Amino acid sequence: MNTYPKDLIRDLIDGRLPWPTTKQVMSDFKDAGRFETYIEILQERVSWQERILLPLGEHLYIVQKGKARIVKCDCGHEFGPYTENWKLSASIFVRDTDEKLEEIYPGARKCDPDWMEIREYCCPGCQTQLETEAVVPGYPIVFDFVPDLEAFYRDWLKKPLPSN
Amino acid sequence: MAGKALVLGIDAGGTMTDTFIVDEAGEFTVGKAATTPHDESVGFLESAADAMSYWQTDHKSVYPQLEVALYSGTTMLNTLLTRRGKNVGLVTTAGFEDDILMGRGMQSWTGYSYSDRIHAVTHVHPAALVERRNVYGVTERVDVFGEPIIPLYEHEVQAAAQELASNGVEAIVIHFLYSYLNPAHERRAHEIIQQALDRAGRKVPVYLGSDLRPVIRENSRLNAALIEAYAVGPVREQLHKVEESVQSRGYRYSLQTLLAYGGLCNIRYPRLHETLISGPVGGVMGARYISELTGMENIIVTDLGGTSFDIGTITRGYVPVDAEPVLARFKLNLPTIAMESIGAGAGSYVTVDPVTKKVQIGPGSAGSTPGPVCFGKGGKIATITDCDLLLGYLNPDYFLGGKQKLDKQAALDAVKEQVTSVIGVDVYTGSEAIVRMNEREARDAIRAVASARGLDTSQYYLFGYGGAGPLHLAGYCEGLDFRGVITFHFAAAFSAFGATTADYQHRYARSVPLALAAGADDKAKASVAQAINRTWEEMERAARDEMSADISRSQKIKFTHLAMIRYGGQLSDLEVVSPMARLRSARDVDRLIADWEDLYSKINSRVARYEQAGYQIFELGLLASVEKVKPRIERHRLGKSEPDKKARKGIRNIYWKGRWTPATMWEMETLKPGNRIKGPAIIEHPATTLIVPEGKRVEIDEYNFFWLK
Amino acid sequence: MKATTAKKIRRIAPGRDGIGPGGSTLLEALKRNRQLFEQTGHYHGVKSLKLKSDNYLRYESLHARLRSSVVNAREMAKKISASPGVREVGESVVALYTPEGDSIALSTGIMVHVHTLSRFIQWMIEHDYETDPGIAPGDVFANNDPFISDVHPPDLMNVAPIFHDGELIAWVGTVAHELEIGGVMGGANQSTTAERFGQGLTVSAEKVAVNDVIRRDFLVRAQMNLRTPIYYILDEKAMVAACIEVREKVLEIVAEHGVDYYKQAIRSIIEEGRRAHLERMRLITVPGKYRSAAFSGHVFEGKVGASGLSTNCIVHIPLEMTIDRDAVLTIDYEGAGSKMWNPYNCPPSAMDGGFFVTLTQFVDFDGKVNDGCWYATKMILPPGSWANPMDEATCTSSAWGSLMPGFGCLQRMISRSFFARGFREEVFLGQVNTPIMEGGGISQYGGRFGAQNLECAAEGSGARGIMDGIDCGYVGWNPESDMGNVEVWEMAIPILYLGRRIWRDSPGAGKYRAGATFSSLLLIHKTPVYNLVSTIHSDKTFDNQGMCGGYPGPTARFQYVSRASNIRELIANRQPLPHVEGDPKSPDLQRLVKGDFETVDGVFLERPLRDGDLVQFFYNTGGGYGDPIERDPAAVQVDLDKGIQSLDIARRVYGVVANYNSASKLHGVDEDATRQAREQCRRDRAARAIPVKEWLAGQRERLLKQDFVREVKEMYNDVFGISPRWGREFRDFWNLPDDFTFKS
Repeated sequence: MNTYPKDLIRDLIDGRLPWPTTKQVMSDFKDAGRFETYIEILQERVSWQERILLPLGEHLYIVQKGKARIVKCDCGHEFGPYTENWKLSASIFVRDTDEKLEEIYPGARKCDPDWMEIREYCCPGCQTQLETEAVVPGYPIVFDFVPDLEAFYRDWLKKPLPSN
Repeated sequence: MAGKALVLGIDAGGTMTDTFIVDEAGEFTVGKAATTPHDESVGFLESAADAMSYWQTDHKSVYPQLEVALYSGTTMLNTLLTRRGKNVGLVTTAGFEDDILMGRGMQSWTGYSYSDRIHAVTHVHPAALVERRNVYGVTERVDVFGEPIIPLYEHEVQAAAQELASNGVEAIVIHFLYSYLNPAHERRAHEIIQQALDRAGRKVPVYLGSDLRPVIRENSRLNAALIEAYAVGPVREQLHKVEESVQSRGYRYSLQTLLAYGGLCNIRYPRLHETLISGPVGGVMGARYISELTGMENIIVTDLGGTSFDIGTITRGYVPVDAEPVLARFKLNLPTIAMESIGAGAGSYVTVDPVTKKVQIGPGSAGSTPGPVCFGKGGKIATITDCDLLLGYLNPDYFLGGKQKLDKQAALDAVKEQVTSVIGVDVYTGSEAIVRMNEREARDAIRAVASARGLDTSQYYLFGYGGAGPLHLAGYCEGLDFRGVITFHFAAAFSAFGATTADYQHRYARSVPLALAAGADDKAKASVAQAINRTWEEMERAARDEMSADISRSQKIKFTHLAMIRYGGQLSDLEVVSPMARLRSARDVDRLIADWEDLYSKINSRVARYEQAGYQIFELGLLASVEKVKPRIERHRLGKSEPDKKARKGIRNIYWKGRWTPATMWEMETLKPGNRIKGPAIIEHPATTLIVPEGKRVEIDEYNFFWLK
Repeated sequence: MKATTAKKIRRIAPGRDGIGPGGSTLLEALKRNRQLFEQTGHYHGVKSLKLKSDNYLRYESLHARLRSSVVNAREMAKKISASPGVREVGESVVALYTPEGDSIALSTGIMVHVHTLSRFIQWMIEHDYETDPGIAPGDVFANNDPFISDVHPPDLMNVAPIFHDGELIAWVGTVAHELEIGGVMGGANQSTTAERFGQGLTVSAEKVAVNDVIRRDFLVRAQMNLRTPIYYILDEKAMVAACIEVREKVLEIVAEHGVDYYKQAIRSIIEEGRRAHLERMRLITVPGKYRSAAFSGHVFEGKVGASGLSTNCIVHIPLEMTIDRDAVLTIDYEGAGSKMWNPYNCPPSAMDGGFFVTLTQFVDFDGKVNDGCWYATKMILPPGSWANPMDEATCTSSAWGSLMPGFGCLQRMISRSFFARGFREEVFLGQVNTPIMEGGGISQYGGRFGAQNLECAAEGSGARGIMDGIDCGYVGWNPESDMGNVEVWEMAIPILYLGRRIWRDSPGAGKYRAGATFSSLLLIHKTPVYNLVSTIHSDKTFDNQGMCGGYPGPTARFQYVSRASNIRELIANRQPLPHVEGDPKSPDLQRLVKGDFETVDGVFLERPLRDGDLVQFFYNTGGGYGDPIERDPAAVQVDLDKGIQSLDIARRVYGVVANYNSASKLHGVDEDATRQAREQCRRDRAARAIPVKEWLAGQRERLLKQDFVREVKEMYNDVFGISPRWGREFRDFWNLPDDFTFKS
């Protein structure tokens, strides 16, 4: 079974690993211990103390806060329980006119704002753009992912999950 | 040294430079020294001196005797792989400036393993050989009929020329669409750019797509031209240094090098990128030489080295050519001896997929460094060689004549821990299973080549060489039907030997727009015949000009005439050797087509014939070769079948078909023509080991070749 | 379609009822095979893989040889084919199947067909082809009828039975994508037709070869019904040759291993494939519920040449992916819109295709994929939707138009699970639509022609989780992507390229951008009439999404055309010609050329082109990954130097302030200005963004006012109708009355 040194994984997820090694890691059998190393690295990087249970995105994590499991940005902003869509607690900017779309998509590249809009969800804390959504106007906000944490930790990782 | 030295071969690798000197009797000596990239002639001279030392002779006597000094090396390839080539400028058809970035999509995955070809996230384009800012698009277009539709905008060429003359590029490529049909625009652009360079007093080599490779497919043509400009330049300088140093020591001719389609050319050859893929070529040349010598006209050659297993074929003395190979992940139309290669080398890593518990051999390989685990040179991953050792096939105290001790325990631990215990089998059963799997892969590859080229193996002799060839020969030939299975006491150096047997040979190809409608009348056929003859004549003329430098008046140039034919509308053609040098009548055209259609249906099954579509000939070819002195392979009287006592080295147990069997051990060098040895036996040579399984035997013929029967 | 009731024609060896395993009929065998799986949960009831543990070598080598037989056959077929599709860009696949039609081993190529050929074989079994027309050694059956099984009509498939002592022990199947199938327009993915009847030559599970000889009448039909029969006929020959090749090799292998061993082994190989897939899922993903949605908008109304039946529409492509405790992957298209009067419908076999081409690239890429993986996954396709029309007359000729956005969602969701699990190097927002330039008319050689230009098979890909996407080197439907050589396409089609170059500012923006795609600018050449069509353009809508803050890839919505141009005059006077788009606000084709210029919204040009006309065709690329203002400025600089990005976009989207040095022809980044620009960007976001809850309130008002264009309202109403569940979720989300619908 493959294992990689922590530094290699760190460089890999930062996109800093030289291509030949990156290619090897991609092509080789996957390392079963990846998740643990990954979480260690991420945990070291955040300034706050709560334990990371699962990363959701470049800046978002599901963390254990007391008895609650909430979504938290690495800037420290908290979005509430992971079982609710964090987007509902984000701030939003919508590109729904030709002008707003042209800023990103000049000419033939853009969509027709009557048919589709781009929603930009940002972190109210650090103003990082966390997700975008290209949907038909009036479309319900998409709830991207609710993990089955119990099954993942207890059945797959065979690890206890902090109680809540 | 038996006779006078004949051929000096130089093989400059990335780390070591090997030199081999062959005498008339075919005996040779090998020398080694570290490669010296800054000036390769230094490393070469040391290595040559080392070689000569074994013959207790020195260069004063050797160099003047030499008929050929032959250079082959990986420098050019390394220059390409490490992107340390020239700063190239590219002038191309406006609208195609990005071809160097877009490449062919397929270059982002070609050369990958089966799984990575599907595993798309791993796909990347090879880094371009030209900086985008050095690409100049000039307006012009020639169409599919060769007709200039948009004239060359000369003022745009002028502007580009001004910059190219001053921006420090070290080589210039001019590449336009369809220039193989109509080179006028490329030639005119060349004139303009040359003038600008001259005015600026700059000496910069200029390469034209239509000169280098006048055949269809712009991406492959561009790659060939760029590689010539990018990677060959630096090497050419090296070659001249090497030539000076051999000539200054009494060598009388020009330095030769080996072409990808076999054959020698001197280092002034204008298309030196054709020497880029010369690795497997030597072996095929050697086999072809032997076939001429012994009359074995159909041969399948197999070269089992550390990293790969290569297969080539010779049919009635003819070696098929792959017109569009991939080199360093660039698709280019560089005619190359068609070799199939799989990663089944003896150094291949053996791993187990933790999910499927499937043993995987390769794609990685330990090479010589770190080497297999048993070398004790830092290799940690189990390899085929480690399994060979465990099974008793290799002699831990006689590898490279004992220079490399093999650590059995280390091999055992590695194979057990990493492989056999994971799939839950005993280490010896497992090791044999793995070795047989690898041999099976090799056998399937041979089968695949045979069916892809429409060969009936029972009509072919099989040559097995390469360091590990004899070791697995019996294994990978099992169940295949050949006229004979043969190996050599110099199996380890067969490619090197082969290189010294090559003739001077140039290959020419030219695109032509010829078509024969279904049921075309004799008049149509006659005019096609004329067009073909005309092109062949042109190519013969070119050959005479280019080759005269290397040959004396007395020597004759031998021509082989080739036609690449397809059914009307097909996109891929098949090369056939013309039964005659000139097509004198419509009947001759029919004969050419018939020969082609025969070959076509052998390869693609009769179902695939489609006469109703008519025929197209989009490319004609010519092979021009001139005989060169070669090492002799002596014919001996057959001695008695019983080997000398002193050849016998004792008994060693080998693991075969699930049990330990005592096998007799022999010294290969001491065996004589006529000798016969019954398996189970192990015949050892400092550089190789021949395994003779139970129920098989080896017979040594009058040429001192080893027949496995 | 009902099974024929023709009286039994005995074509089988005496002493057996059928040609199937152990003398059973194939239908009995098929039923039994399904039963065994339902009862045991293991493929064919294979509980233990003892064959493998007993004799590892024998088992693995059998598997390896079966695989190499199909891989080699594909290489051979490529050489025979005449079609630039198969030969130049590898649009083919060869595979081996059990008697019941489960795939055992596949070649590389269009992995789409892992299970489509299965359905074809099973359809013949279910319709008792064993009795009539009969299944005998040397037979070959062909099909391109999507409702029997196919992705879409251009994919012509062949299958041949492999017999051993009168028993059918395997099927070999092969597929080639045809460039012309004789539809209403030239080409293959007919986009102007609204029912199956305009799709072109349909072969519905026909016996096309007997005793290894292709039936004359079949070839005659092709000859008479296609604009460019050469491609089709040589591909057909190539496929039959490949079938024969594989059959011979398989029989060799069977002779070597014994037929009984072979029979057990193939079952075991598939069960192994099933288990391997589950284990791999468990190793690299995270269980849970994932959601994503894509949309594909189409414009037909008022377009000359469009079928009167085709209306403007937005295809709703919602996807829910569940990975359960046992690592079983289920994808559910609940909420998909109804079947449509346009070519973007997908029969179930097409959905299988999309599913497999995704799984083989993302999870099961070890080269040993087979139907075991199909047995380890579930797909829910709402009846009556575009994803399962239940109506054989539905048009499916451009099924990819919905498949690609649909399975792009799957790629994005699986990527999300890779991300969560830590395998960021596997995150890949691969596929988007691939507009194919097709059509027909009179060729440069004077004859009639029809063809596709498949250069689209090397678009840009979406971004990766640790690096940019693939520039000009990816399409979702064939991982072995390629655009081929211009010198070859110009042999097949009467065009003269003025340019094939990277489309500047095309990549979906992000910390890691999507791959750059390209555009082709063509002079129509030496033809009085070339009816050029595009097969797919998600007109007006993005068909893909970004991830983690990256933007979707562009729409490639317009094509540029210039008719009756003064191009010849420009050429004669050596004046500048258009090669690329140039400034999107005034494209070079409009700025440099006099002619009647139009920007064509989407799929097809309304009037044929002729010699001297010009057209510029844009290809898609995918979404970006991560917040663009977190992109390494050095990477932006490289893109500037390569011409992939413009200074303008670098500044606006990436917050990178750079300048161009005309002497060195390189760009320089102003570090400080860039830092400030990016800080400013965050301040602007803070200023213009509002809390989502606030925004929702406003949107709810808009809904109540029904302030949307017709196409949007129709999409919603249609979905409410076909999926009450989805409608309920919609109304719950917006807190609308239970009877809320849109008035048209």
